[in-house]
Amino acid sequence: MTTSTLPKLNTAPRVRQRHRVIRKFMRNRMALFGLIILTVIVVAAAAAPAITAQSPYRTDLRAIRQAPSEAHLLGTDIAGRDVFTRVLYGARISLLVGIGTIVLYGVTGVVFGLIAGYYGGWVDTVIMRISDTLMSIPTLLVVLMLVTITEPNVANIIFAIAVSRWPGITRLVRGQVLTVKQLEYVSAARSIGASGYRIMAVHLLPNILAPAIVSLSFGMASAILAEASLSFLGVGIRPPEPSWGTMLNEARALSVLTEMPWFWVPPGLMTAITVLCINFVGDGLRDALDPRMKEI
Amino acid sequence: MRQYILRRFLQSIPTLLMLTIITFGFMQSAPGDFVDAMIDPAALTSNSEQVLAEQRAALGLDQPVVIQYVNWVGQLVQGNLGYSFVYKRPVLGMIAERLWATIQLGGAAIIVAVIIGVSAGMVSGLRPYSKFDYIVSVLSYGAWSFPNFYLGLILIYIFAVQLKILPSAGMLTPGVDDVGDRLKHLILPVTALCVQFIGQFARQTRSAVLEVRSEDYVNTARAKGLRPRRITMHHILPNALIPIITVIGLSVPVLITGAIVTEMVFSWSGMGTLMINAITARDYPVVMGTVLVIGMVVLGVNLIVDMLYAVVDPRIRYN
Repeated sequence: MTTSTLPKLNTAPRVRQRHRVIRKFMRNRMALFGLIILTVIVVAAAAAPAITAQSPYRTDLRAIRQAPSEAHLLGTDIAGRDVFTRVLYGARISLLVGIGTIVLYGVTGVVFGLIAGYYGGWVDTVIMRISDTLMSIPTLLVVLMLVTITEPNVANIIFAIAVSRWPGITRLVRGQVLTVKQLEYVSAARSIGASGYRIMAVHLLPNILAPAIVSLSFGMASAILAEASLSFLGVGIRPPEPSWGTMLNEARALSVLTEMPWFWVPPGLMTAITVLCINFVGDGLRDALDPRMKEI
Repeated sequence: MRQYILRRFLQSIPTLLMLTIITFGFMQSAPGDFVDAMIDPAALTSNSEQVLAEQRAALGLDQPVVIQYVNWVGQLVQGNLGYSFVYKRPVLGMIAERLWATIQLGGAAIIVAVIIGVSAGMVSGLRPYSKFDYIVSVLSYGAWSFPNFYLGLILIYIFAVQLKILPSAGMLTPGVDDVGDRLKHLILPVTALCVQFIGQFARQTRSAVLEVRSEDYVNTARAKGLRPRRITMHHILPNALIPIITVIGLSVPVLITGAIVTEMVFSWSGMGTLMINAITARDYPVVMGTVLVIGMVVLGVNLIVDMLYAVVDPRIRYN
């Protein structure tokens, strides 16, 4: 390849910039706090089998609706399953949905945004028209329609939320590309015969990624909320899967709500804490990566 | 001005058409249909296929997809959203009965959120980094992240179960039908729904006020010796409130989403409960009808917001 004959690029400025971003992030106390709590939640979710010996599925009809005790830290639910275990395993589902969703729609959104912004013309028109329409329908409606026609499982929930969210990223990226592609270094790349693919991947992508990353971090929080809402409505993750939203759905029964606060308070609290911490991290990322972006 | 409004109006037609195609397409690709869902598999006998086919033909489910779509849109234009599979009633009528309940809930929530959120944001923006500003920031952050259905459950637990001062569900007490009773039923759902918007409106108003405060014309006003009160009321606030119109408009889809969930928490018989129940029962015409009506409401609100914006801010019209 010809690259081997070229002088080695000086990567020092890029490394220095990365250090600056990390330092700036670390100085944001709320963001750091959010990151620490989030790390604890991630580790706890990953190490769930090591933390609790119980199964999140095993029912015990001799021990239903029990208040917290030594045997059951957070008591048991209406089928005698250990609430603490279920909340712990619930974190796996929430995090999986959160991460899976942003990876899926992040990649889709960025690719469409790059293509629409770089090529323009009818490709741009088609992509933007579709994304405009999707954006004009409330997210939950799109998701609800999708979960109606598919089996309600984690993969389909991720897909459904991602379908409704990529237009936001596409717009963001497209807007950035429209600005950046006017810059001289892009013209320079084109003049020496770089392909469209190379310009997009090597020259545009690294320079338009910051706002997308910030938006995706908030997107993860809202994907987790969306899954919890869907499961709460009874059209998301189905019992006996230990999703926080599914657990809260059971609290719609007045007898559960009234008599078993130990059962429904923890999953809701965990949802709120997780979402809040991710938003803190997102805020820190925004300040560190792109000081010009103030409000989203 | 008239040209702008007309152009903006025409732009929303293709979007509306796409909305119908997407809605229809989604429901077409649903696995199984109503007839399958209603027959107990154990009751199937040798000639039941024929019965099923007759049922499908009676409901128009045996026609080609395109024809079904054209039929559907043709009826749509005439105001016929089809008939509910389950209740054998016109969908439009079912929606009409429920729409008002949702408008009450959503409308009350947005009014409360605007009043509290915008005032809190204004005070925060006028006194940035004060104690009040700090409290508002923290609270709006929390409100933004708090699942509204969880908040709803907590409110029911505290005010209906423990304190017993407010009803936990429904829109009115059967037998008692006065305004006071209806208002009492509104308090908890509206609170659960509006909290996240209060936070959002407060944050947006704050940053708008902060931005306007450093504009040249505010400095000019200050330099020529106007009283601070007059500067705030005549120079800062009117200009800071312009972007808030857009923020409120943009929050309508989220508001509707929130209303669907809130209705399920409080057994509020509005569009949300209608839709979720229809999804569970695979009552496609009702699902399509509710999605369509909600989508049209959102499109309509976006249109109105854009027009309002053009009225308030002349720069928009000539873009």
